[in-house]
Amino acid sequence: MPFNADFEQSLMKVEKPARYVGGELNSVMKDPGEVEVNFALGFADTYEVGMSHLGINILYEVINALPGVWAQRVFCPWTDMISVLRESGEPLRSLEGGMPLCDFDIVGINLSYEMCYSNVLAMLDLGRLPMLARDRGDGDPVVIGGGACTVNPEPVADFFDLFVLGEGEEVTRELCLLFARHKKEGFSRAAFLREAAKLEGVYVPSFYEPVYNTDGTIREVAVRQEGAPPVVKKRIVENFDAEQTIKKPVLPYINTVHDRCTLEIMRGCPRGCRFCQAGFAMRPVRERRADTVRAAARSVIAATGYDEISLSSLSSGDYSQVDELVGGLVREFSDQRVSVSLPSLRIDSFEKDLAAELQRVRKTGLTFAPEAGSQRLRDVINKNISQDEIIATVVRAFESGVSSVKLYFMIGLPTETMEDLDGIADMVKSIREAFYSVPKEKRRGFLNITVSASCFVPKACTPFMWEAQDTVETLGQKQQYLRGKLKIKGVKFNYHDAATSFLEAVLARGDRRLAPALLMAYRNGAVMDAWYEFFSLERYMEAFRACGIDPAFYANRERAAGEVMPFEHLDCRIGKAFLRRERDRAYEGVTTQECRKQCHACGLQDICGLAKKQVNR
Amino acid sequence: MKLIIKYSRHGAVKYISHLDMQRTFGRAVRRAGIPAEYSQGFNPHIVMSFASPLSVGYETDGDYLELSLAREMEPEKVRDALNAALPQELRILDVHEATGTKKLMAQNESASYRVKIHFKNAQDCDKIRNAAEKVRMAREYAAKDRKGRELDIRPLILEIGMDGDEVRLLLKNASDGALNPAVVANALLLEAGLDAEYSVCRTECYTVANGERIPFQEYSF
Repeated sequence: MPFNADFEQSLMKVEKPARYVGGELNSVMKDPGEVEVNFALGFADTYEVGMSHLGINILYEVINALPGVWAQRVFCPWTDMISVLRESGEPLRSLEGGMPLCDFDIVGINLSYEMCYSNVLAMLDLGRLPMLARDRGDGDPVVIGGGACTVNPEPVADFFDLFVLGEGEEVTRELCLLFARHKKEGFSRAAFLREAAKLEGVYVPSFYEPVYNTDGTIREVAVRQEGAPPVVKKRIVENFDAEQTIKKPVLPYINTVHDRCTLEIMRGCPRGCRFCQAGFAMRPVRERRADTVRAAARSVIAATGYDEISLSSLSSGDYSQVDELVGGLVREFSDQRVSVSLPSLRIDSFEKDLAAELQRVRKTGLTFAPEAGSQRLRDVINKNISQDEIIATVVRAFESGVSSVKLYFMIGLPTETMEDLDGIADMVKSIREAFYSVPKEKRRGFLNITVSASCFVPKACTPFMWEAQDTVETLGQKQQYLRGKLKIKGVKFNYHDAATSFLEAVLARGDRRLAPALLMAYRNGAVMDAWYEFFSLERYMEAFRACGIDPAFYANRERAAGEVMPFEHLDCRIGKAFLRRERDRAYEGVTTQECRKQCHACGLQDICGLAKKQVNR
Repeated sequence: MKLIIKYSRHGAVKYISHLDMQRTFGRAVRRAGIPAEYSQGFNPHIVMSFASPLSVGYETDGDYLELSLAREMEPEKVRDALNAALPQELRILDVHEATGTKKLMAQNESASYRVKIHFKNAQDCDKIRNAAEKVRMAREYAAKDRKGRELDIRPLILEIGMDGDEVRLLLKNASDGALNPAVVANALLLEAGLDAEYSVCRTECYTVANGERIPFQEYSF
């Protein structure tokens, strides 16, 4: 991007200046004279995190494929650069054209995680935009939110003009075209928003108003704009296999979180783990055909020179053509020394042959997510795997030369007791025994087990959305208990900060009354809250106190079955009755089969390919 | 076969680190379809090494790397293929074959630099000229390195002078002694009593053979 000499000198004063200069291979430059709609594609975290985000990379190519529309990337600056911008009075600019955020027509920001909300405010503020949507006029950009957090965007509703619910490809195109038309005819924000609200998947929060009961719960969400739909449906891409995907991604100069060729092979997940928001919110399950994925791989590898292909989905082992795809990719690319990796592989789907294929170019460790330590609790959360399967899988992996295992667990799950935590330690010990039971000549190196425990956060659009989260104190006690149990040679124990998970829980099911507190916390210095070194729960607690908010009301309170949720007017297309049914089954310890085996009428059965297959059978 | 590759870097790409440069070149080699040799082991990587790491923020008109090929390919073809694959801000200036087995990195003796100081006033240039002359005439010159430690930089300065309003430096760049041009630039600013920003461009890397200083481009490795 073009920048002045002063800014260039300030770049020398910050860590990783390459985060702010753009110019990477495959970044898209357009002639400003031929651009009708300038679209700032924002991500509310660092460059390295944002450039690793699949959605941002897809939308970058989708938007830039539109003639007359230019998507330019903007990331949240690191704290050192935030200081530089504040001191120099320079605005936050896009990477491609160096345009201040306030000069764009549309500013779209991906909300990938609740803890990035303070970064959203920082970006709007540094980009010289009025932070509150109601303060923005016809000359200001239209601010759009999208991504994972739009299942319940209510805590940040006041900062956005509209949200895209669900999948962004089609609706973003429609919004750009609509914007171009309105711009040509003389732009009026109100008129544009009224029209935009008619598009499926577009939610204009200012058209709705929550009405509260005296006990603080919500009585109803009233529609305040004629013509706005009473319930906004999330958008689902009509033909996933045919939809545009990544072909020529920007190649970062600096190391990013996922510095590789990432290809999306499947959307949605058939498993139905009851804590998992993505597992429900991204339904229905749809696959991309193996040859479509291979064609994309060919294009991306040629355009970037990456030496690793990562096949991305929520549960890659459930992809029906997994053997064919992995085999085909390995055959085609191993001469070019390109390795293939399959994250999100479920334990039961990990086959020895597949393991061998994956090891052909590079040796990798194993990562599994049993999530809970006991069979009882795994049944509660519907993680349908047994300890025996886990052991059988690691033994196979150990025999093929793997010696490092990463295990992900969650603590604070509904109905959890100390015995369930003991189960985590027992499983680790069994894995250890399994390693040493493999004959010495077959196993390799020293065993390395990393156990990570995150804190359960109840989320919208899941069977656990009515649950109370454990208090920070309880979570802390459980972490310390587990830490004591896991002092085993070769075992490393990591756990998430409970205070962060508490705020995440407040925001995940929060409502619009939280917005003033978010703004106040930002004014008091909150930014990069997902980074342990910057996060201060106390800063938020102060803001909550000042705004008369009890955060425990949001995090630690069990909701009644009939309670109106803050996101009641937003339809994630999964039926509330189904979710409640799943919640009851959880408490009975009854598991639910995955969608491929049996349809449970989650709400998408009329458009889901898996459901149709069962009807035909 | 082993190739000695001379390249330049200008513009935004100057802000990347040495590790980023290695990754960037590795990927360009792959995109260009150059038959590079790969290392053995768990994580095979392209056999490639840089003569001398370039600091973040520095441009160059004369940096080098060596690349081993598994199959023969004409140096000119390698140059053209790499230039087609690299971003515009990185250019391959020359490719020649190494005939011997000498390691590029071990041949570093000195490197030349162009330092452009962003003067606030026209007469500041004269102050720097005087400061440079004072350093040139001195037998010892104490300055602080980038970690704030004091050292005598004079023996590490082989040549110092002005070319118009730019400072030209030839500095030791060997395993037994090397000097970063920023240390000299800071010393000159201090000597001149100025506070100004500056930009650095490396112009060439040199080795010494039979008592003669030879640019890497003309040296047969």
